[in-house]
Amino acid sequence: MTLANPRSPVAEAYRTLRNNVQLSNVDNPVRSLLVSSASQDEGKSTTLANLGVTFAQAGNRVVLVDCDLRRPTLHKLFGVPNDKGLTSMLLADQSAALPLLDTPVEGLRLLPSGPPPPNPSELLGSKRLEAAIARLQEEADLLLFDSPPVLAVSDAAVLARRVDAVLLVVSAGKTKRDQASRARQVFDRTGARILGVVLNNARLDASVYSYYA
Amino acid sequence: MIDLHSHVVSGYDDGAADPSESVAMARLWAADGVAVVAATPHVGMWSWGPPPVDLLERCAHLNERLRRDGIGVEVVAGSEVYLTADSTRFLATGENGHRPLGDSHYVLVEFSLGGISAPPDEAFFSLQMAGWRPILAHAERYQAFQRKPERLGELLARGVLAQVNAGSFLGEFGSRARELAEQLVRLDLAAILASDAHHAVVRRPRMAEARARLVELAGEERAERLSRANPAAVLADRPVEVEGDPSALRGAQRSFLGVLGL
Repeated sequence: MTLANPRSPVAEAYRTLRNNVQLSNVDNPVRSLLVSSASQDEGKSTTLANLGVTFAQAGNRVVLVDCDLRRPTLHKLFGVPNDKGLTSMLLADQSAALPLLDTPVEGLRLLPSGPPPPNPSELLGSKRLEAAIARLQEEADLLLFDSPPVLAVSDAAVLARRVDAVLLVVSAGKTKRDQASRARQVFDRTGARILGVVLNNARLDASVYSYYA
Repeated sequence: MIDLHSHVVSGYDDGAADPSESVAMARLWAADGVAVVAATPHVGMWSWGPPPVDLLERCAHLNERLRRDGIGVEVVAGSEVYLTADSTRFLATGENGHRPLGDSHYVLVEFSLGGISAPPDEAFFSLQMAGWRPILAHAERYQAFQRKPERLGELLARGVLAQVNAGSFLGEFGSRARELAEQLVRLDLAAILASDAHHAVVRRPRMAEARARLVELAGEERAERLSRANPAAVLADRPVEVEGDPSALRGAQRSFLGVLGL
């Protein structure tokens, strides 16, 4: 969206989101961010990809990491194969080249999930993941992690301990109030810093944006 | 069309009895508008391994014969791998007839049709980690998945592609296989239509009839994708994805016995 139609109100909204992420931490910049949601289909992966595009367009080196090892979707979004990715990086030879894929956006690269493993939570909680994040961080100013919905499985909570901050995506008219607050509680318990909540699928008041169109 | 699953080569498994039956099958494909057929003999199912037949040589002979007879069908080599703990190792070395579809990284795999459960996730994961892209042969025919379609959904969510048999849409494998095959197509979870043809009379290739049924079920665009575009991408080793949501795959209302797991 931000790539196909950079002047649209939606792209502008993503740029605002980027600024908010940056401004919320002037002294202690966020270098790794987990994007999660309470349940399925709230637009978490799309939000993450668009946020990645806007950060890259502002000159940052960004790597999108698909940590949804149960239902990976980022490779589909970018139309690339999922033969190699995070799981191959974790389980194969640690010194092998990083299976990072270029995207049509300069500065934006993708690490697909790789083949989904039988034991995702264990793998995400392993020492190997910590080492992998450290290695990826050398390649990027910002790491954006996709993960399964936080209320469905423990993966996102496990991952939250390994990142600087968490962004919670909420779908207007879809996410139930108590689901959102339960999601928040889960992250609070892990000690993660919740940077903010993205309200997705909200209705735009046309008059606000038409002035600039 | 392209048909990625067949037992057209003779002398190898329970498929074509002799070369003349292979040719008779090829005429049926040609009449249906199928231009490329993968020869996918069963491998890995028997502990004593495949017969001492060179599949590539058989395919070459058959292709020569088809050209001579003016039948516009080309046969490419493959295999239908019965999934075991050795599959990944055998594919790496090409042992026991294990080979991918054509020159691709796609591998047609099957397991016991009547088993109470699917092979453990590790079996598929091991193939994928070795760089193979598994395609589950006749996904709709496994009793374990007919009973619990959500289990098939879990497998598809892991990036395994589903191949459905032409005959399943035509009632050849019973109503449960038909229902599951139709569900897979309607939900846009099936990736590939193939014949799994064994002979020229019973279990013959019926790709045109099945394709017509797909058009009724899900429209021309999806029928084209399953019968030509996706199989072509497989042979070219390009990524193939389905659009459907695997978690939408659910069993019908459970009967009383079903609740008990019977």
